[in-house]
Amino acid sequence: MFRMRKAGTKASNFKLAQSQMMVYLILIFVLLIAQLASPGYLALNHVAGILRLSSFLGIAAIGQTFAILIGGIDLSIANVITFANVIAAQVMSGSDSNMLAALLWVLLMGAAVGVINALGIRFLKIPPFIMTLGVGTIIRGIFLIYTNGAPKGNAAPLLRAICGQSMMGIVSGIVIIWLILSIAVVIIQKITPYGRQIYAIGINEQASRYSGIPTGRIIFSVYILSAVFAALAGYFLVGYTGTSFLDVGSDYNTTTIAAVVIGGTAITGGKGGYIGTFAGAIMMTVLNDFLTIVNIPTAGRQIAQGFIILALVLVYSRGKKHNQ
Amino acid sequence: MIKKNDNKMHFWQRNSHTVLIFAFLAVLMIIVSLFSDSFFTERNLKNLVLSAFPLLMVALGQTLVLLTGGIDLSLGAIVSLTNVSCVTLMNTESSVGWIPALAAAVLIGVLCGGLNGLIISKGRLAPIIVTLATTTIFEGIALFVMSSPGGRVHSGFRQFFIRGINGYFPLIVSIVVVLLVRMISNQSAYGRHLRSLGGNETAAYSTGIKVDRVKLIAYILAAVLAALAGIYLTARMNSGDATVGKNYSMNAITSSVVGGTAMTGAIGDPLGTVAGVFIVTIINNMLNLLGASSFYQFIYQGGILIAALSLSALRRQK
Amino acid sequence: MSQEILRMVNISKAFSGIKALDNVSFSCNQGEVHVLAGENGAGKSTILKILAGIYHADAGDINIRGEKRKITSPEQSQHAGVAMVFQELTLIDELTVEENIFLHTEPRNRFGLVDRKVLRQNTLAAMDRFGIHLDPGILVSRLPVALKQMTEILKVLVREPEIIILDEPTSALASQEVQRLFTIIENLTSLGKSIVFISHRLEEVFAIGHRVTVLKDGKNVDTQPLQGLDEGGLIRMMIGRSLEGTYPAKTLTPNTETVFTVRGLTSSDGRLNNISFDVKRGEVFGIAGLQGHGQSDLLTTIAGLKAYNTGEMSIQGEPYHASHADEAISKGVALVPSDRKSQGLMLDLSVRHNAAISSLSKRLKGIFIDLPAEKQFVQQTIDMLSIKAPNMDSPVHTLSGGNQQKVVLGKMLALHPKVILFDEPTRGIDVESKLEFYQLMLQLAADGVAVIMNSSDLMEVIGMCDRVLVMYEGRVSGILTKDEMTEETIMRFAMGVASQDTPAGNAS
Repeated sequence: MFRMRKAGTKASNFKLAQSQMMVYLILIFVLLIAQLASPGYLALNHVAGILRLSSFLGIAAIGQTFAILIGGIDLSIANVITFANVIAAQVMSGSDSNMLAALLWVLLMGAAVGVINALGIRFLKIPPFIMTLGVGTIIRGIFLIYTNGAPKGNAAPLLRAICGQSMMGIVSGIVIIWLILSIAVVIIQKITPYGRQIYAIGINEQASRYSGIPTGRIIFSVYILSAVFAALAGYFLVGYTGTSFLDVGSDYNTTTIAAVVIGGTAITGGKGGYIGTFAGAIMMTVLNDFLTIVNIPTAGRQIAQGFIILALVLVYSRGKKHNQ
Repeated sequence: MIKKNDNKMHFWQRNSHTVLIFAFLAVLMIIVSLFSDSFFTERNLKNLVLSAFPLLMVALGQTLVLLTGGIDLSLGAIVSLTNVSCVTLMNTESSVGWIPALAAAVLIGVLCGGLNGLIISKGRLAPIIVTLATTTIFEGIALFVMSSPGGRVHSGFRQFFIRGINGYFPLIVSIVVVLLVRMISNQSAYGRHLRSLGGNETAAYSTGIKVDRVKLIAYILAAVLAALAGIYLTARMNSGDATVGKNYSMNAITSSVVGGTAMTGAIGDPLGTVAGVFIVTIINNMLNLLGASSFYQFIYQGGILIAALSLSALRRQK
Repeated sequence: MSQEILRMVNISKAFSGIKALDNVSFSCNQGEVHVLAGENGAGKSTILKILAGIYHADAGDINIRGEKRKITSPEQSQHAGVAMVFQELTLIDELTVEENIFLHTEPRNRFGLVDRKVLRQNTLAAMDRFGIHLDPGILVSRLPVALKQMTEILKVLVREPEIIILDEPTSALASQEVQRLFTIIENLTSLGKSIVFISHRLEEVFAIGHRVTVLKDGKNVDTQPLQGLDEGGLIRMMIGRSLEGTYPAKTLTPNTETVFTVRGLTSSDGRLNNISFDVKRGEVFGIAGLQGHGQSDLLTTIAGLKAYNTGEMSIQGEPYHASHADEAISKGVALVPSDRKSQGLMLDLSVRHNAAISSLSKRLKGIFIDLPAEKQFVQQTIDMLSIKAPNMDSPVHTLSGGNQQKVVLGKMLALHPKVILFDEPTRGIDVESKLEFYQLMLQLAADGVAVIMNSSDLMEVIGMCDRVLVMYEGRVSGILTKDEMTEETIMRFAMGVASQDTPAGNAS
């Protein structure tokens, strides 16, 4: 290999962090435009509402971030969310004392689904796209049969309070939970060996193996994490809506992938991280919310969202090419 | 010296999955017929083809795209879009009122596929993200064209599509399309180029293959096939519905993969996809015949997808 | 008298301000095999890629048959009658041999579909014409590397180029395969084709070449007919000094303490067959043989990346077994792999991340990575190994081959291994870094680490190793001492002609 492009300095560092920062810049830009077009958008009340709404997508996207970082993807998230939603509502049956039991059941289900995904991906070498798609579909069949099309149960009042309107003054409990989880996830991804190893595997699985990283175990764990976080999101969604719905999770495959990608994580893995996804989740929510407020009908909103996702992804890839 | 043995071995190397999947399909059909003696009736088989037709079209298109190493998640949305456009543009009064509708549907297919293909090839973006975004766009446009299901369909057109040639029209079209697609993918130079993209895009480029053009054409072909499915659904449903295509993309992927198409590209046979489509469709047929809850189809679909790939994986390990 | 068919004049090329070629010229006559020689980084690959239209020259002309040609794309190059066979083959594994040969030039019938009959006929005709015979209907994925290369050559030849460039075609071939390639090359020259050939293997340069052009640091050194030249002369042209200075002097004589033993190592896929050897404290133990006879398999098996059936190993007397790479590393066995780009490094990550990745658990503060400690460690590694990088956060792909290799070594050294396996450690590395590497290896050996090196460069083996295990078809053909190590002897063992099982040993 002939030598070298010009030596980069701290500048090349900056460029690598740039795409993660870019989504925050774009988010601020979008918020400013929203404020201009619809004064009062940035009112504290409204912002609190947006954060509250984003937290469910944000929590679900934690798992998707891990899965994509490691070079895979998780398409079972949507149906795991719905299944968790169904289980949670049923177990809780509107009673605070059942909240913990519901949570445990939900997490158990998530772990089980994650293990099944992981087994197929790791041992049968089934591509993640297919394995998680298949498992997700089976889960859908399971909860449809289980509820026979009519889910039962409803949220405990305490959960409704956490996920509902502002609990402690202005900020909802769910937002705080999301923030705590986000900080933990970012720390894990950036400053723990586990996180570093995930990035390494996403960039080059073979070299990771040669370097002594237990790639099989880590890949296995990531799919468990992904399903568990999806289940968690489904659990909290019961608190938000009050009861469970059979289509509550439907869009989450698309929206979690979108949040991850517009947050600057490469779809092939190894680059990016949850810092960006956090903003990506808020951005997705803001887009939808803003377009609703300015009275653009569903159709228009969808079209706009699609174009914006394309535009953002194009911007990132131009940015990367520039750095090369 | 090329011996007969070599030819047999080569055949098996390339076609083993297809043969096996058809064997499985045959076994499946026999099992189903045991549960219901009306399975092998002409009426039921015609219905089977009728219900499988749209998925067959979309799955064939998806197979072509998968061969390039890409994926198209927007095919379902294109089905919906062409459906509602067809209904909206249909002039039920005039006897040729269906012509502009059909032409528009095909044109929409070309435009949508062109958009996908251009952004993916020139924009150098991952197909999964691009088609994820265009799904939202196409769905949005469909909703815009027809915000709630309804509309009326030209009755002559409808009659011909569904009941033409003694009810065999859909079957004839299916066979023709399958043969055409297979000719493209297995026997034409373009098909080789498709596969080389999926095999090693850099090598294909170094060989002088116009990578961007091959991709563009693949996405357009897939979209046109999806448009065909949309036209058909117009006839069958006798109305338009902007959400009709929602599951087709994923089911098409399932059918292709069960039929032996690799997600990594280059490997796959439209014939296998045909088997995959019917394997996926037959269970619904059976559930209807048995009067069972249609919820079981999901378990079956997910199961068949995982089972098919597990078997592939196990065979590879030997 | 053969006429001149190609002349490249005063070619200059710079990448991001660094000059790769500085007024380089060379010419090739029709029917000639012209060898381009020189160290890594001398510019051989660059000038040929310019000829192939992959790079554009900043200055200079390309003349073919006396006519100046503009070549700025692979298509233009092909039109000018030039074809290049790269080290990275442009074959599609999932297609058959004949489909690959005629990819993009498929014969069609009147329906516009590929005419399989004509395709087969054309393929067989080409095989006869160029003297390369393969099964046309077999999937390329099923072919061994040598036959894949034959397919690639055929693919290039059917487009009837006048000038064929071969970029290190023999690096992945065993010697019988090299012979076959040479026969094909002779065939081609008799058909009037001209060949430009890059090789590092001096025996081959002399075996097949007519003239040689030597490049050094992007400039011409000289062009000579190979007939009047001898090896020493050629080497002097290439590196500007003679061989003696290339390897560091050994100051330590190995003692008799054994630090690593292998007994009866056998793998189920047949690649390794009853391998046994000892490594003594202080020695550099070499593995040699023709390509593909199990050397890399031996190293990766010891390092836990490949499974084995039977056999035992021990490190400093303690039994050793590993079925995974992480297990091997935790037990003190480290591998510097042969392909640093795909096996040794995460190219897009920084020097720091690459160097630290295998030893993260050694620098923890609770469950977190101790970042200041890591920084210190990486800086120490950079200093100790003299890694030249702008700073530790630069992406590792911006480093030269030699420095990249040092990062790989540094990564492994962090674990204080007791056994280090080097698989082709100096492939693609400049002279300065090579020397530094050799010194590092000697230092490690002196510290009591078992140093095992696999190299296909015989001169390197002879220059560096105290003893060498020569492999042939997965078996131990012989273990030679320093005195017994000559190029000829090693080759005899490598080709299975001599064997230490025969009573006469070296005699044959």
